[in-house]
Amino acid sequence: MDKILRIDMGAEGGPAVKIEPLGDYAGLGGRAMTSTVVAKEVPPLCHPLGSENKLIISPGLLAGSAAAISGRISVGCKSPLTGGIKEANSGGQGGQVMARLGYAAIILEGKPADDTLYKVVVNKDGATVSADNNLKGLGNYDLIDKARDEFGEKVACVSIGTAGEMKLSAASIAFTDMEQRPTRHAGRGGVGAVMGAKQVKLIVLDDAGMGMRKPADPEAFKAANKLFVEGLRGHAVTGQGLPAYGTNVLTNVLNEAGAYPTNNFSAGRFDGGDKISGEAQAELENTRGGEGSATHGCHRGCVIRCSGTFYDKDGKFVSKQPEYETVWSHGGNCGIDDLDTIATLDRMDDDYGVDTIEMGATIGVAMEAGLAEFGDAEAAIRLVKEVGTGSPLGRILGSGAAVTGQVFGVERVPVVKRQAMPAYDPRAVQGVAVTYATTPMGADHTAGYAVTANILGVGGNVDPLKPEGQVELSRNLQIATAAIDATGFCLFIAFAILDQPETFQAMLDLVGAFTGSPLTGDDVTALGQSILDNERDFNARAGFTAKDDRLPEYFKNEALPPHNVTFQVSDEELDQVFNW
Amino acid sequence: MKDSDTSPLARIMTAREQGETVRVEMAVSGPLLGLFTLFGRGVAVDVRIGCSIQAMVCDQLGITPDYLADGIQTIFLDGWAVDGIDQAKAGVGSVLALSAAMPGLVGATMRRGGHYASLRGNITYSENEGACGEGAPGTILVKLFNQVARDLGMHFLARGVWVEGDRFADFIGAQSSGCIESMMLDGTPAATESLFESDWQDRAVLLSGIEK
Repeated sequence: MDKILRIDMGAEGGPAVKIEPLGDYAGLGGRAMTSTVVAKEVPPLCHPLGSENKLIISPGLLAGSAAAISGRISVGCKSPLTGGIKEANSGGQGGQVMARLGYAAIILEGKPADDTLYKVVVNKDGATVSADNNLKGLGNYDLIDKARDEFGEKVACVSIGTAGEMKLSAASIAFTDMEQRPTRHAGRGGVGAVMGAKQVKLIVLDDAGMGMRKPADPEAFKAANKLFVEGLRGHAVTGQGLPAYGTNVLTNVLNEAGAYPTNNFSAGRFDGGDKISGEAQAELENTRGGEGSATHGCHRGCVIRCSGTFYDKDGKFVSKQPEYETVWSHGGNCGIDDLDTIATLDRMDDDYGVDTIEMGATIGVAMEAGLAEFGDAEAAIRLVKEVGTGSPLGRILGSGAAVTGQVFGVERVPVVKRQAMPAYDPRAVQGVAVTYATTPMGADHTAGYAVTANILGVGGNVDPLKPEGQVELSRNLQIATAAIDATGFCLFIAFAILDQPETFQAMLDLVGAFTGSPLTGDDVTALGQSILDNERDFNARAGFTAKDDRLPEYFKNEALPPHNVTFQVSDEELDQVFNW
Repeated sequence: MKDSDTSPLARIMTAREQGETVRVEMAVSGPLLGLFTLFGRGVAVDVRIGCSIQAMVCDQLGITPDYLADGIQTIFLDGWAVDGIDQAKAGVGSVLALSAAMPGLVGATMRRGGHYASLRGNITYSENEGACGEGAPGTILVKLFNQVARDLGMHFLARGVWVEGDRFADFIGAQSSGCIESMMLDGTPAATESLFESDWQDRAVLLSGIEK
């Protein structure tokens, strides 16, 4: 990854392609790359859909190598949903293929003067941009079918659906998976709307003729990778729980804890939780059978394989196995306890190209507004369909929970920085809510997700038994997560690393053997802090203040059953998160 | 209707008080479907209350200390996350949920005694939460999740568990043909198909099963 592909979509005479050396961006990947470029090159006060905004796509540092589970890819821009900086992260094949092509980043900038829609093809010979208005109005699935006909089954595709073309704030960017289906999404923050504003419908990544990226020390790399994989496979969470039940294994546990947001965050426990749990989902998928049913990877090189494939009762492919957040957002959050309905909604979200968390949260707000009853599965499908067709109602819903709540006069709107909250109620899991409130991304469960913070030595040792440790823990988790987001490793490696010192050491050795520079805890801290500093600086220049690092007021006033708890972390404590 | 009236334990206890009970014994030869849903919602178990969770799980429910230590990393008592299993005590009508270690930050947060336990401090079990007697008989609801349900489901069935009648009907309906080799209904041999014709609503089933 020694170059950057920069495409000026607004150049005179049509889009202009430039391939540049890394320059100041050398050594960066993933979120470190996207957030650095946004902070340096995007005017913070620009309109997110305007020509001054940029869309940056960057694989993690180890992507394209033989390092296990390192194929995550980041997408960054100024978010049309939050108005602040955004990094959205995805699985799929895109990270591996793009890295093998040698690009550390693709940067889309400018904006075409007319309404022509473009596709970009990147291969070993370079990149071409061509007009293709035949792609207009296609959902992601039809679009990828068309791409397959033209470019074959081996390319990876990056695309937007109709929501991205309409520049809706909940629009996602799809990355094809191992079966070349558009099931993996950089979902959060409306990154698809920015790609739509650049009028790029499809990026085809073709790594034919390119080899795997080579480590600096092949022998040490091979040895470390072997130990790393053994550690992941040998751990109860990464070797058993996640492969068997997927991320949705969390439903029963969160529901039991009274932390499962139900009916638009009005309760913490959903009576139908057992029917949509990961266990029930895996059993249903295994009973129906089919290729990759309950255990499947989202990209080549994944050894955890927490995903799966959802087929209907007749064995017809519906969608990838819906993730925990999706099952929650379209399920319990809307009072729906039917897995087939949830998988259908997941498929529609992927096809239209919208973030499943934002969409489910929005439908929950719409239900609270009286547009449908909680639990009405058909109504939920009808409302999401409105988004795909681009009706006036659909455009409101596709603009996210905050806009929908505003339009329909709903007070209980679960957003921070106008981005919908994921599947953990902040009143029950208050430490996680500290991250929801303060992350520069808007409410985001993955922003402080790397439970390796303590062993990475980030922030020193925090006494976990002290309540005041919540702020420190959130800070350390956010720093560690930002750093891991730069490597391309999936955040689910964290458990094996947390429990098994030899697996942690293997991961450090793996990075060191690949880059040729040993990685230390201090390096991780410095990298994570520098990413967060860039992001917070951008947000400050975009007009964000401490008042934006707050949860909606009702979380402090409305007690959440069954434990009847409210959010009690003070504003003063929240303001301490980024004091380093 | 109050939530407590519709909870599995309340429905089972009401049916038992009204004598609306059925005893079902199964001999099974293959993997049972629907175990996750059955144990995910919860089954009622008669125990003696007043001892610690650790003692109840190992001494009364017959789970080995090693499995408790390694396999059951996440425990809830009446919805409160438990850290000290040697101190927390279940009372009459308590709900005890047992789970393996869970992924992600929130999974780590819920783990008993975990590094991130403070992040869920206000839903952590404290000694005042439970109501306890000393060795008195009582019934609790046990929920088994994920790998724990897979590992211990048949263990609990061998012991015998109380389930809601309509949930039992769902469970029987989910079985593939042939995995239940034989069945006794209140001590009398019965065909699986005959169960579909019965009205199970508002009944409690004492369900037991052994692998052949």
